[in-house]
Amino acid sequence: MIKREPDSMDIDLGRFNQVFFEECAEHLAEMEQILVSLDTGEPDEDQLNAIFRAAHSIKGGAGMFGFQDMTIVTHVLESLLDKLRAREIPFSSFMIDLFLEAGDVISMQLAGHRDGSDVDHESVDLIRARLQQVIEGGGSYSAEGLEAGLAVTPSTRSDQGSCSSSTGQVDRCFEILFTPDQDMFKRGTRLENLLADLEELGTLTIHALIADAADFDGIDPEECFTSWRFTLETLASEAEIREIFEFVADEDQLQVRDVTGESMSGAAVPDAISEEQLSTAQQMADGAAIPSDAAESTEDLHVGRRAYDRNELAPGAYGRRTGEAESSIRVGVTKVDQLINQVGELVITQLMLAQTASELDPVLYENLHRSLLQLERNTRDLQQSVMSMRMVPISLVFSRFPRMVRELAAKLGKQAELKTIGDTTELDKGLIEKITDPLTHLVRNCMDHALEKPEMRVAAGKPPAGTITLKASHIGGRIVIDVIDDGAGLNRSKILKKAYERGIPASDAMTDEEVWQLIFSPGFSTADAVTDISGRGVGMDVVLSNVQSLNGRVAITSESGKGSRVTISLPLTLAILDGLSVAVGEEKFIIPLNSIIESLQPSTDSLKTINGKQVVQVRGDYIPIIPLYKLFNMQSRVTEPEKGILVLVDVEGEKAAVLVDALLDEHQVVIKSMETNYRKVEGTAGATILGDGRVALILDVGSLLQMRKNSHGGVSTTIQEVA
Amino acid sequence: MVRSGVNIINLHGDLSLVGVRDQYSILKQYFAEMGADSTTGNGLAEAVDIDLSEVQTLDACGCQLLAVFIRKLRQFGVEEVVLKMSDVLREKIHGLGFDNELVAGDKV
Repeated sequence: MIKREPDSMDIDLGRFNQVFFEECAEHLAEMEQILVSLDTGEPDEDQLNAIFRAAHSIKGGAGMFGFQDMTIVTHVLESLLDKLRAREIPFSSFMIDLFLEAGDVISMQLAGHRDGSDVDHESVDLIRARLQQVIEGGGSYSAEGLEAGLAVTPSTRSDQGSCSSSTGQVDRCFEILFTPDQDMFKRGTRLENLLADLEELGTLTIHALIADAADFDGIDPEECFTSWRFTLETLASEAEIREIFEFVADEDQLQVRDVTGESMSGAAVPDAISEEQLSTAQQMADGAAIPSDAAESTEDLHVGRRAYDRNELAPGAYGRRTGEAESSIRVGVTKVDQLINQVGELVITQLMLAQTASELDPVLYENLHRSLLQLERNTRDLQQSVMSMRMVPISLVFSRFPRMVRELAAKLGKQAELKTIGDTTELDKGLIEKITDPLTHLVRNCMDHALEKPEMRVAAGKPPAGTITLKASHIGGRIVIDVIDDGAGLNRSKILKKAYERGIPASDAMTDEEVWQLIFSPGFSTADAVTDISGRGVGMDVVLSNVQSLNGRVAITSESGKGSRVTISLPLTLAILDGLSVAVGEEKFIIPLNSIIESLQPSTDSLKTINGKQVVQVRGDYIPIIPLYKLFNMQSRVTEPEKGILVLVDVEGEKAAVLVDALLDEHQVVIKSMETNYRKVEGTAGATILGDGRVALILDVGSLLQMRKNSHGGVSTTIQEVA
Repeated sequence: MVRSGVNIINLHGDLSLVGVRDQYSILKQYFAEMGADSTTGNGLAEAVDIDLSEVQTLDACGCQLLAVFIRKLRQFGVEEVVLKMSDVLREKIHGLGFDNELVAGDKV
């Protein structure tokens, strides 16, 4: 006998699993978002339908992908939601928390499969029992009833062996004929999961029926030519049975008959579904023509989907609409990044072509020039389209906070309202992932430290409920996210006192802005008590370092008794930038166009020197001059501002004049990471390759201002002195 | 036709969807090695023992293949087909509803 080891797995289920993980996370987020928005109000029909759809889709996906454990909670959750939809059970506000907890448990199970993290099976059992109890209690629920709820477990049912149960209810007997299509195995459908679901409903007898026509010599062994006939004694309804098959059986593949009371021959294979029916079903599954009478009889049968889903256009009907399915596709981030890089290279090539063509006679080569102009337009459009693929709305981050604020408010005995502004502001997917933690910490800080308890707020003449506002916007080519609270504001004296105690350099002469920056020192916390929410002083420094790692900045403003505002400013790190190329000595730099106000050649009269630092007077304002040649330690033919060009830039309200030798051209440039290709260069946001093939540094104007402050002792002070 | 002797077929490894194609090849090879006539099965032994003790994975797809193979043996007049397997595998076959085809006294 020839012995061969089987080849390695032909089907990579991993990539399909990943799709499920992503979709499941989205459904959970959607569910949570709706639940939190309900607060204590009653959901309307659309909201209930949406929550139901989310739970339903998770369950279906979990079943299909073989994550059987995940269907345990979703099944009961879905059943309860279904009863709520049908008004069989009245909605109560406690259900919001219950559903949120169920979502948490499902998330935990998801993480278990996706990341291999631990799953607390007790929590799974508990939430399942609680949901079940609400169903059985007709919508009522009490802590005392939990024990009873726990007692209602699937095993209680399946252990019965007769047609009567301990609850006094009578089991019904169903005969089920399942004739899957030939591709069932290939699709990865695991029959074991389906059988386990059925067994959960009661006592199950299973009988596999292999089609007579299956001949060993001619079969495709991966195709299914077996039907199954089940006998199920259960308390469950026919609809519940059909529900189990809804993702694996089409209308013509499932027959369910209630044969309660009909004589059964013990464990023998029941004959109530005849061999003829089996044959017909097999033919249908095989795609053969169906006799008209058989077709009519199947019409009378309920099909393998929930009855309420038969109308696919009805609100809450399962499944994506055709339009939805066509509206988006999932593409891996790696693929998108690859495309962005390739388009970036295309842009550089186009620039090179344009540069070369610029040296050719425009009359002689008119057609070439026209074509190159068209190429430039097409390339730009293509680049913008590609760039937009990585952009996602910040609502993906914001949406996690309503629940957090709700729960923290309850825990801390505070009242809080969360407002979000600019939810549709788009930023790079990579930024979204990295900004989540800092924002989470800031919101926690607001809840724990900033917002006062209701009685204190009332005493201070404020409404009892505090407000936290999350605001996102595009300002000057940067993403700006504000976390604003109307709480007590930062306590200057307390911060200074704590700084002295901790040995952090500080003085009473420091400006408010400088004092607020102290809270970013490692280990700094003014919290009177360390809580599990915040107050260990390991947060704000992490916020700062995380934001800085994204080339971002954090600024704080605060007013005692009125609240604080933490502003995070992030660069658009995507690989495209509109910039102005400038010359300094032999080098070229790119200044982001969106930070440029104007450029001018200053007169000698408009230039002042204060304490050895140059400023230029523009319409009454004194603006510090940043000589690039000095900052980057370069040789330049222009060292005096009046002989060069000053490019006035504005960074979040702070102005500066960048001294350059000459203005060259306006470009759309492709940003290349300096860190990846060389090393971090202070004052730059990256580099780009110009049309002539040379590398030009892209200036980070905010960082330039900071460099100048650090080397000259503070621009703001100088301006105040001049004024 | 007079038959005698016992053929032993050892299957091992994966008898699920993942490995079923390979197992199918092995079972087809059995007929070829025995020189079985494609219509009469001449050349096959009187009894066939299918040893599944080294099968690690089994699912409905694998059960189906085994069942069809055994049907073919019967069709060729092999009178006795014995399946040797662990309790775990037996339970698995039972759970998938293939008792009648594969387990009934392990002599099928």
